[in-house]
Amino acid sequence: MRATAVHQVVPSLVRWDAIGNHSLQVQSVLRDMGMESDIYVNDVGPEYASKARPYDQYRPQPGAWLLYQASTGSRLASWFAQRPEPKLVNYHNVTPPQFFERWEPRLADEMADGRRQISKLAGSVRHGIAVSRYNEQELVDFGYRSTSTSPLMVDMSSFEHEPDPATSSWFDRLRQDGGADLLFHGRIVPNKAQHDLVKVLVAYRRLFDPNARLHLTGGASSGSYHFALRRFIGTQALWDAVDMAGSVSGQELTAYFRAADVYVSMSEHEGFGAPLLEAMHNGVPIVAYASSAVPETVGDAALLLPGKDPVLAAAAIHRVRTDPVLREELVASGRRRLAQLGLSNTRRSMREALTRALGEAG
Amino acid sequence: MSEPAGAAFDHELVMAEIREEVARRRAAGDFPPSLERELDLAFDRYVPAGSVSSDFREAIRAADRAAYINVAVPTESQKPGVGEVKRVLRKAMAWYLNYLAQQTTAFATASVRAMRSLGERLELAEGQLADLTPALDDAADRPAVAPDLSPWNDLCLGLLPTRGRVLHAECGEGDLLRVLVEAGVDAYGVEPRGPLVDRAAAGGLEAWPDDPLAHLGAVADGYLAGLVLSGCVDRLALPRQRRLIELAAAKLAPGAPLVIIATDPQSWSTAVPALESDLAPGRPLHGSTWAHLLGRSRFDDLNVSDGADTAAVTARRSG
Repeated sequence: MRATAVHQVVPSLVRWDAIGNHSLQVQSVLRDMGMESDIYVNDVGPEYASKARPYDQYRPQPGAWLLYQASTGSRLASWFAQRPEPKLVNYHNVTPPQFFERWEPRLADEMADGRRQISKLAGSVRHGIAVSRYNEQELVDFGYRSTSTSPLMVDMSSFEHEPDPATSSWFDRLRQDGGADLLFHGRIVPNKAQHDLVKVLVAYRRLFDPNARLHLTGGASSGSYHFALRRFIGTQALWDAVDMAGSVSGQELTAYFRAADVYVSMSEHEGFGAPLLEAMHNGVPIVAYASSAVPETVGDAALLLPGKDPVLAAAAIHRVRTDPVLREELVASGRRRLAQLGLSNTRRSMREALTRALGEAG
Repeated sequence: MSEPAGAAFDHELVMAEIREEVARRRAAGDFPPSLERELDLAFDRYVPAGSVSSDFREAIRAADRAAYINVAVPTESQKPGVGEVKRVLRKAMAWYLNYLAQQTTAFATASVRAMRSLGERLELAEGQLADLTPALDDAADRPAVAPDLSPWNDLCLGLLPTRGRVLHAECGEGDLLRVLVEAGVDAYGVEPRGPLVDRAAAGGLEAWPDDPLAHLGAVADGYLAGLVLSGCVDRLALPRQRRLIELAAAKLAPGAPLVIIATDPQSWSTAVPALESDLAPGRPLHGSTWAHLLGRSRFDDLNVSDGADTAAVTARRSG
């Protein structure tokens, strides 16, 4: 039966969440395609309450398909699996549990469940759309027979904030002591490997810039990893050099990006890596460990490191800091990459993927 | 979505220059490997007990460290006034926290004591078991002769990447290491036998006096872009050979190649000096046996190449 409606099933729709915003863009693309499209959720933030409905209010209708936004383990997955409608999955990646096993066994179990859920859906889902080729390969490994890639749809205007004046003036005071400001934005979790950033800072300060600072923005999802990270920073006597800012507002984050000299990532697992786009948007050159989906997200707009050697990372940061031509080229490449990943392109890509999915599978 | 067409700068060239800078800094001793290892160990101290390695004593030490509950909550803050508020709260709640912490610490200390006692009994039992099967793997007891690996130079060059650090353990006098370095591989070696590692280092190679198992145990997970194992693979007893595979799987980055150059068991007595072969606690394994063990661990893309006296087993760490 030809599809006349594609409704999305989204575990959680909250503000500032990249996947929530992506889901709203998917809805807009589907409606542009002439489809009826609503969003059914398990959890919804107050600011999006008018944009979504609780999943138990879903009513079947002829010609309707369901599209599941898969980014975490959720009770919605089993509900989705039981539905008789033709199904699609939009895969954002679920962090492999091994990153959490030693730190948060309970979370690791949840992640394993989440991946198992997505794997089990392979038999009943007609097409999987991944936000990166890295994720698409995982879908193939899970047993999905029909797959495609369409990048995360990020509205770059959501990065537009006036920098928080208090944070900016704090940076002004910091700079009076000299030294580079290195930034990483992401939750404090083992797979983001903030502890490796601390090692890089140790090497960078010892070899090139004794006054350098590291700023880590983002809340903690693993208490034990957060604790270990804080203790580790303490053993290196880096309390004054590492700023663990925690969750910050959009304005504060903009102030951090505007003040940063280099955005550094040692993350070992990214299904896409939206903060990399924010660094490009703010003209911050990127030095990143080339793991998971990071290389395809940044394209040529970063110095990609083949390993996690802190000395190599420190030397790369130093090069970016001291070579204005390279810095400009990285920033310019970032702007080009952002244009490629701009909404007009990613919406077109998603429309093509959905057209293919509905046509091929239908 | 297509990738950007053509890099605006030559990424390879810039990275090559950065690697040269790193090599210069390393050669000058500005950031010795021991410091990297200290950093790794400093962080590992806070990794939940028993998860970094299967070393029982280390797990007990970690449990012991964690058994003390510190009620002196850090009160520093970069925000004005917050530190003072924290200090007041800490002082106000000290009576309550101390009461709970004393009981928790007592329980944890008693538990660690019980585990330590259990560990001592286990160690005693293992010692008695070892006496039944005496092992001799002390570098001082082995002659300073390294096997000829030159038949496998091309295979290693074809497989090992020029990006990222590559380790050769044991590197002997560094013959293979030199071939790799001259081909642009960022390779270093470890070798437990002093005279050999001295000759390698005197030749300008980055070679460290270290036991392969101990060295691999201290390397950060996923750090290595490639690994060559030779020498040690022939001598170790089976449990340590398996431990070597476990460590290789942990320390190699996903997709990174592993090369094991193993002496053919049939030529063991002729290819290896009698003193070494007689005193070795273990015996070499056939290439196919290594492939079997690697296949049961986190390796794929397995291949066995047979030579005159040695076999090369190649594999890739699963992604």
